[in-house]
Amino acid sequence: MRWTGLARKYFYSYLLTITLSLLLSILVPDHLWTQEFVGALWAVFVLSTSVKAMTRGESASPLLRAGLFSQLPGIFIGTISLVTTMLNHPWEWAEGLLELWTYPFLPLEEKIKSTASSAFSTTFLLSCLVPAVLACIPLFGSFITVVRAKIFGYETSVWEKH
Amino acid sequence: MVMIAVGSWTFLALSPPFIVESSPTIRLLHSLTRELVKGHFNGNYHGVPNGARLKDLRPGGVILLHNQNGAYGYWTHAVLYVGGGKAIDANDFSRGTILSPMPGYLTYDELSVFRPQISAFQKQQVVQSALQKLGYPYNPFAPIQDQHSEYCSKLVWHAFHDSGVQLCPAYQWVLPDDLAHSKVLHQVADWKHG
Repeated sequence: MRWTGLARKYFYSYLLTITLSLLLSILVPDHLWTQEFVGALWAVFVLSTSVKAMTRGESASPLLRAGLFSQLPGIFIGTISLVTTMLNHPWEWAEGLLELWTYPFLPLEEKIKSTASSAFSTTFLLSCLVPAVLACIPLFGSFITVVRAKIFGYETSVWEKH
Repeated sequence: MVMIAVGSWTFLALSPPFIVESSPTIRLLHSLTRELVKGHFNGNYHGVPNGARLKDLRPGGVILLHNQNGAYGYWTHAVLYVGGGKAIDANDFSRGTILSPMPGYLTYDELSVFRPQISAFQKQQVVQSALQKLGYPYNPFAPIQDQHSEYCSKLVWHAFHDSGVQLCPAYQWVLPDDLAHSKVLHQVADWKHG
Protein backbone atom coordinates (compact mmCIF):
# COMPACT_ATOMS: atom_id res chain seq x y z
CA MET A 1 0.00 0.00 0.00
CA ARG A 2 1.27 3.47 -0.82
CA TRP A 3 1.80 5.87 2.08
CA THR A 4 -0.99 8.16 0.83
CA GLY A 5 -3.42 5.27 1.19
CA LEU A 6 -2.27 4.72 4.76
CA ALA A 7 -2.49 8.45 5.51
CA ARG A 8 -6.06 8.49 4.20
CA LYS A 9 -6.90 5.44 6.34
CA TYR A 10 -5.49 7.09 9.49
CA PHE A 11 -7.15 10.42 8.73
CA TYR A 12 -10.68 9.14 8.06
CA SER A 13 -10.54 6.73 10.98
CA TYR A 14 -9.48 9.64 13.21
CA LEU A 15 -12.43 11.77 11.99
CA LEU A 16 -14.69 8.85 12.84
CA THR A 17 -13.06 8.61 16.29
CA ILE A 18 -13.74 12.32 16.99
CA THR A 19 -17.37 11.96 15.87
CA LEU A 20 -17.86 8.84 17.98
CA SER A 21 -16.34 10.33 21.12
CA LEU A 22 -18.45 13.50 20.72
CA LEU A 23 -21.57 11.36 20.33
CA LEU A 24 -20.61 9.24 23.34
CA SER A 25 -20.12 12.32 25.51
CA ILE A 26 -23.71 13.31 24.67
CA LEU A 27 -25.26 9.86 24.87
CA VAL A 28 -23.41 8.53 27.93
CA PRO A 29 -22.00 11.61 29.69
CA ASP A 30 -21.53 9.69 32.95
CA HIS A 31 -19.08 7.26 31.34
CA LEU A 32 -16.01 9.17 30.23
CA TRP A 33 -14.16 5.87 29.87
CA THR A 34 -16.12 5.21 26.67
CA GLN A 35 -14.36 8.21 25.06
CA GLU A 36 -11.01 6.97 26.32
CA PHE A 37 -11.83 3.54 24.92
CA VAL A 38 -12.62 4.95 21.45
CA GLY A 39 -9.34 6.92 21.47
CA ALA A 40 -7.38 3.84 22.55
CA LEU A 41 -9.11 1.77 19.87
CA TRP A 42 -7.94 4.22 17.19
CA ALA A 43 -4.36 4.12 18.52
CA VAL A 44 -4.41 0.30 18.45
CA PHE A 45 -5.84 0.37 14.90
CA VAL A 46 -3.04 2.68 13.67
CA LEU A 47 -0.43 0.64 15.50
CA SER A 48 -1.61 -2.68 14.10
CA THR A 49 -1.99 -1.24 10.57
CA SER A 50 1.58 0.08 10.77
CA VAL A 51 2.94 -3.24 12.03
CA LYS A 52 1.10 -5.03 9.22
CA ALA A 53 2.48 -2.60 6.62
CA MET A 54 6.00 -3.05 7.96
CA THR A 55 5.82 -6.83 7.84
CA ARG A 56 4.53 -6.54 4.25
CA GLY A 57 7.69 -4.69 3.28
CA GLU A 58 7.01 -1.01 3.99
CA SER A 59 9.86 0.95 5.53
CA ALA A 60 9.59 3.34 8.47
CA SER A 61 9.75 6.66 6.62
CA PRO A 62 6.54 6.26 4.56
CA LEU A 63 4.76 5.23 7.77
CA LEU A 64 5.97 8.35 9.53
CA ARG A 65 4.94 10.42 6.50
CA ALA A 66 1.46 8.84 6.61
CA GLY A 67 1.18 9.57 10.34
CA LEU A 68 2.30 13.17 9.88
CA PHE A 69 -0.07 13.84 6.98
CA SER A 70 -3.03 12.30 8.81
CA GLN A 71 -2.43 14.60 11.79
CA LEU A 72 -1.46 17.64 9.74
CA PRO A 73 -4.74 19.50 10.49
CA GLY A 74 -4.17 18.97 14.24
CA ILE A 75 -0.53 20.07 14.08
CA PHE A 76 -1.55 23.15 12.07
CA ILE A 77 -4.45 24.04 14.43
CA GLY A 78 -2.21 23.47 17.48
CA THR A 79 0.44 25.84 16.14
CA ILE A 80 -2.12 28.48 15.14
CA SER A 81 -3.88 28.32 18.53
CA LEU A 82 -0.57 28.76 20.36
CA VAL A 83 0.20 31.81 18.22
CA THR A 84 -3.28 33.34 18.54
CA THR A 85 -3.23 32.80 22.31
CA MET A 86 0.09 34.61 22.55
CA LEU A 87 -1.42 37.42 20.45
CA ASN A 88 -4.25 37.75 23.01
CA HIS A 89 -6.98 35.87 21.11
CA PRO A 90 -7.69 37.84 17.95
CA TRP A 91 -10.06 34.95 17.10
CA GLU A 92 -11.20 31.82 18.87
CA TRP A 93 -11.53 29.38 15.98
CA ALA A 94 -8.14 27.73 16.47
CA GLU A 95 -8.64 26.96 20.18
CA GLY A 96 -12.13 25.57 19.63
CA LEU A 97 -11.03 23.44 16.69
CA LEU A 98 -8.03 22.18 18.65
CA GLU A 99 -10.34 21.14 21.47
CA LEU A 100 -12.51 19.29 18.94
CA TRP A 101 -9.52 17.69 17.20
CA THR A 102 -8.08 16.33 20.44
CA TYR A 103 -11.51 15.53 21.93
CA PRO A 104 -11.04 11.72 22.09
CA PHE A 105 -7.97 12.24 24.26
CA LEU A 106 -9.31 15.14 26.35
CA PRO A 107 -10.45 12.96 29.31
CA LEU A 108 -6.90 11.59 29.51
CA GLU A 109 -5.32 15.06 29.33
CA GLU A 110 -7.67 16.38 32.00
CA LYS A 111 -6.40 13.78 34.46
CA ILE A 112 -3.13 15.69 34.59
CA LYS A 113 -3.78 18.45 37.09
CA SER A 114 -3.28 21.93 35.72
CA THR A 115 -1.38 24.50 37.71
CA ALA A 116 -3.24 27.75 38.24
CA SER A 117 -0.02 29.77 38.23
CA SER A 118 1.05 29.10 34.65
CA ALA A 119 0.01 31.38 31.79
CA PHE A 120 -1.39 28.42 29.85
CA SER A 121 -3.58 25.59 31.00
CA THR A 122 -1.69 22.26 31.08
CA THR A 123 -4.55 20.65 29.14
CA PHE A 124 -4.20 23.27 26.40
CA LEU A 125 -0.44 22.75 26.11
CA LEU A 126 -0.93 18.98 26.03
CA SER A 127 -3.60 19.40 23.35
CA CYS A 128 -1.12 21.37 21.23
CA LEU A 129 1.31 18.45 21.56
CA VAL A 130 -1.17 15.59 21.12
CA PRO A 131 -1.39 15.75 17.25
CA ALA A 132 2.40 15.47 17.00
CA VAL A 133 2.42 12.51 19.41
CA LEU A 134 -0.41 10.82 17.48
CA ALA A 135 1.52 11.34 14.23
CA CYS A 136 4.36 9.29 15.72
CA ILE A 137 2.20 6.22 16.48
CA PRO A 138 3.02 4.56 13.10
CA LEU A 139 6.70 5.07 13.88
CA PHE A 140 6.14 3.29 17.18
CA GLY A 141 4.51 0.51 15.16
CA SER A 142 7.64 0.15 13.07
CA PHE A 143 9.71 0.09 16.26
CA ILE A 144 7.56 -2.76 17.58
CA THR A 145 8.08 -4.67 14.31
CA VAL A 146 11.84 -4.26 14.53
CA VAL A 147 11.96 -5.31 18.19
CA ARG A 148 9.67 -8.26 17.50
CA ALA A 149 11.85 -9.34 14.60
CA LYS A 150 14.93 -9.08 16.78
CA ILE A 151 13.42 -11.07 19.66
CA PHE A 152 11.82 -13.80 17.56
CA GLY A 153 14.46 -13.72 14.82
CA TYR A 154 12.01 -12.96 11.99
CA GLU A 155 13.38 -12.45 8.51
CA THR A 156 11.29 -9.39 7.75
CA SER A 157 11.58 -7.19 4.75
CA VAL A 158 12.59 -4.44 7.18
CA TRP A 159 15.90 -6.16 7.67
CA GLU A 160 16.27 -6.93 3.98
CA LYS A 161 15.89 -3.24 3.20
CA HIS A 162 18.48 -2.14 5.72
CA MET B 1 -20.06 11.08 6.70
CA VAL B 2 -19.43 14.74 5.89
CA MET B 3 -22.99 15.08 4.54
CA ILE B 4 -24.42 13.56 7.77
CA ALA B 5 -22.31 15.92 9.90
CA VAL B 6 -23.36 19.01 7.87
CA GLY B 7 -27.00 17.86 7.90
CA SER B 8 -27.06 17.31 11.69
CA TRP B 9 -25.33 20.64 12.22
CA THR B 10 -27.87 22.52 10.08
CA PHE B 11 -30.79 20.73 11.72
CA LEU B 12 -29.53 21.59 15.23
CA ALA B 13 -28.76 25.21 14.33
CA LEU B 14 -32.14 25.83 12.66
CA SER B 15 -34.32 23.75 15.00
CA PRO B 16 -37.64 25.41 15.94
CA PRO B 17 -38.11 26.49 19.60
CA PHE B 18 -40.34 23.53 20.56
CA ILE B 19 -37.51 21.11 19.66
CA VAL B 20 -34.81 23.30 21.24
CA GLU B 21 -36.68 23.58 24.52
CA SER B 22 -37.49 19.87 24.69
CA SER B 23 -34.24 19.02 26.51
CA PRO B 24 -31.26 20.89 28.04
CA THR B 25 -28.89 18.81 25.86
CA ILE B 26 -30.61 19.84 22.63
CA ARG B 27 -30.69 23.45 23.88
CA LEU B 28 -26.93 23.39 24.42
CA LEU B 29 -26.23 21.71 21.07
CA HIS B 30 -28.49 24.26 19.34
CA SER B 31 -26.55 27.11 21.00
CA LEU B 32 -23.18 25.54 20.23
CA THR B 33 -23.93 25.02 16.55
CA ARG B 34 -25.01 28.67 16.19
CA GLU B 35 -22.03 29.89 18.22
CA LEU B 36 -19.39 27.81 16.41
CA VAL B 37 -20.45 29.18 13.03
CA LYS B 38 -19.67 32.67 14.34
CA GLY B 39 -16.35 31.51 15.74
CA HIS B 40 -17.46 32.12 19.34
CA PHE B 41 -16.31 29.22 21.47
CA ASN B 42 -16.50 30.92 24.84
CA GLY B 43 -18.52 33.69 26.46
CA ASN B 44 -15.72 36.24 26.26
CA TYR B 45 -16.72 39.59 24.77
CA HIS B 46 -15.32 43.07 24.35
CA GLY B 47 -18.04 45.56 23.58
CA VAL B 48 -18.58 49.06 24.97
CA PRO B 49 -18.74 50.05 28.68
CA ASN B 50 -22.00 49.06 30.40
CA GLY B 51 -21.45 51.46 33.32
CA ALA B 52 -21.51 48.81 36.06
CA ARG B 53 -20.38 49.86 39.55
CA LEU B 54 -18.20 47.38 41.35
CA LYS B 55 -19.21 48.53 44.83
CA ASP B 56 -22.39 46.42 44.61
CA LEU B 57 -20.33 43.25 44.50
CA ARG B 58 -19.91 40.93 47.48
CA PRO B 59 -17.83 37.72 47.59
CA GLY B 60 -20.00 34.77 46.61
CA GLY B 61 -22.10 36.90 44.24
CA VAL B 62 -22.92 35.58 40.80
CA ILE B 63 -22.42 37.85 37.80
CA LEU B 64 -24.30 37.07 34.60
CA LEU B 65 -23.22 38.70 31.38
CA HIS B 66 -24.96 39.26 28.07
CA ASN B 67 -23.29 39.56 24.70
CA GLN B 68 -25.67 40.50 21.89
CA ASN B 69 -23.73 38.35 19.39
CA GLY B 70 -23.41 35.39 21.71
CA ALA B 71 -25.47 32.31 22.21
CA TYR B 72 -26.07 29.81 25.05
CA GLY B 73 -29.29 31.72 25.84
CA TYR B 74 -29.89 35.34 26.84
CA TRP B 75 -27.07 35.27 29.38
CA THR B 76 -23.94 34.29 27.49
CA HIS B 77 -21.48 34.10 30.37
CA ALA B 78 -21.39 33.58 34.15
CA VAL B 79 -18.67 34.26 36.72
CA LEU B 80 -18.42 34.13 40.50
CA TYR B 81 -17.12 37.17 42.39
CA VAL B 82 -14.52 36.09 44.95
CA GLY B 83 -13.55 39.50 46.34
CA GLY B 84 -10.56 41.78 45.81
CA GLY B 85 -11.94 43.00 42.48
CA LYS B 86 -11.61 39.55 40.95
CA ALA B 87 -13.95 36.89 39.68
CA ILE B 88 -13.28 33.23 39.06
CA ASP B 89 -13.86 32.43 35.43
CA ALA B 90 -13.70 29.37 33.18
CA ASN B 91 -14.21 30.47 29.59
CA ASP B 92 -10.91 29.91 27.84
CA PHE B 93 -9.34 26.63 26.70
CA SER B 94 -5.84 28.09 26.66
CA ARG B 95 -5.93 29.34 30.26
CA GLY B 96 -8.44 27.07 31.97
CA THR B 97 -10.07 28.25 35.19
CA ILE B 98 -8.53 31.55 36.27
CA LEU B 99 -8.98 34.59 38.48
CA SER B 100 -9.95 37.48 36.26
CA PRO B 101 -10.02 41.22 37.13
CA MET B 102 -13.53 42.71 37.13
CA PRO B 103 -12.83 45.53 34.63
CA GLY B 104 -12.76 42.84 31.91
CA TYR B 105 -16.51 42.36 32.39
CA LEU B 106 -17.46 46.01 32.17
CA THR B 107 -17.68 45.94 28.39
CA TYR B 108 -20.45 43.38 28.03
CA ASP B 109 -23.79 44.63 26.69
CA GLU B 110 -25.42 43.80 30.01
CA LEU B 111 -24.08 42.88 33.43
CA SER B 112 -26.32 41.63 36.19
CA VAL B 113 -25.35 40.97 39.81
CA PHE B 114 -27.13 38.19 41.69
CA ARG B 115 -26.71 37.68 45.42
CA PRO B 116 -27.31 34.22 46.93
CA GLN B 117 -29.86 34.00 49.73
CA ILE B 118 -27.57 31.96 51.98
CA SER B 119 -25.61 32.54 55.20
CA ALA B 120 -22.29 34.44 55.28
CA PHE B 121 -20.53 31.20 56.25
CA GLN B 122 -22.01 29.41 53.22
CA LYS B 123 -20.93 32.29 50.96
CA GLN B 124 -17.41 31.89 52.31
CA GLN B 125 -17.59 28.16 51.58
CA VAL B 126 -18.80 28.87 48.04
CA VAL B 127 -15.79 31.16 47.43
CA GLN B 128 -13.41 28.59 48.91
CA SER B 129 -14.73 25.73 46.81
CA ALA B 130 -14.59 27.94 43.69
CA LEU B 131 -10.97 28.84 44.42
CA GLN B 132 -10.13 25.15 44.66
CA LYS B 133 -11.12 24.86 40.99
CA LEU B 134 -8.39 27.27 39.87
CA GLY B 135 -6.33 25.70 37.11
CA TYR B 136 -9.05 23.23 36.09
CA PRO B 137 -9.20 22.78 32.31
CA TYR B 138 -11.97 24.44 30.30
CA ASN B 139 -14.22 21.99 28.52
CA PRO B 140 -17.61 23.28 27.31
CA PHE B 141 -18.68 19.77 26.27
CA ALA B 142 -18.14 18.17 29.67
CA PRO B 143 -21.40 17.35 31.45
CA ILE B 144 -22.15 18.34 35.04
CA GLN B 145 -21.04 14.92 36.36
CA ASP B 146 -17.49 15.42 35.06
CA GLN B 147 -15.26 16.52 37.94
CA HIS B 148 -12.09 17.10 35.89
CA SER B 149 -13.00 20.22 33.92
CA GLU B 150 -15.20 23.30 34.09
CA TYR B 151 -16.99 25.87 31.97
CA CYS B 152 -18.42 29.18 33.21
CA SER B 153 -21.86 28.24 34.54
CA LYS B 154 -20.79 24.72 35.53
CA LEU B 155 -18.05 26.23 37.71
CA VAL B 156 -20.58 28.49 39.48
CA TRP B 157 -23.03 25.59 39.89
CA HIS B 158 -20.25 23.32 41.28
CA ALA B 159 -19.02 25.95 43.75
CA PHE B 160 -22.51 26.20 45.27
CA HIS B 161 -23.20 22.47 44.99
CA ASP B 162 -19.96 21.60 46.82
CA SER B 163 -21.08 23.94 49.62
CA GLY B 164 -24.44 22.20 49.91
CA VAL B 165 -26.46 24.77 47.94
CA GLN B 166 -28.44 23.68 44.89
CA LEU B 167 -28.80 26.59 42.46
CA CYS B 168 -30.83 24.62 39.93
CA PRO B 169 -31.44 20.96 39.08
CA ALA B 170 -28.34 19.04 37.93
CA TYR B 171 -29.05 19.12 34.20
CA GLN B 172 -26.43 17.41 32.01
CA TRP B 173 -25.32 20.92 31.04
CA VAL B 174 -26.07 23.95 33.17
CA LEU B 175 -26.31 27.20 31.20
CA PRO B 176 -26.11 30.80 32.53
CA ASP B 177 -29.88 31.14 31.91
CA ASP B 178 -30.49 28.23 34.31
CA LEU B 179 -28.61 30.17 37.01
CA ALA B 180 -30.69 33.29 36.28
CA HIS B 181 -33.84 31.31 37.06
CA SER B 182 -32.44 29.99 40.35
CA LYS B 183 -34.63 30.57 43.40
CA VAL B 184 -31.49 30.90 45.56
CA LEU B 185 -30.16 33.87 43.61
CA HIS B 186 -31.64 37.34 44.00
CA GLN B 187 -30.91 40.01 41.39
CA VAL B 188 -29.53 43.12 43.08
CA ALA B 189 -28.21 45.21 40.20
CA ASP B 190 -28.31 45.35 36.44
CA TRP B 191 -26.50 47.57 33.95
CA LYS B 192 -27.18 47.74 30.25
CA HIS B 193 -25.14 49.39 27.57
CA GLY B 194 -27.05 52.38 26.20
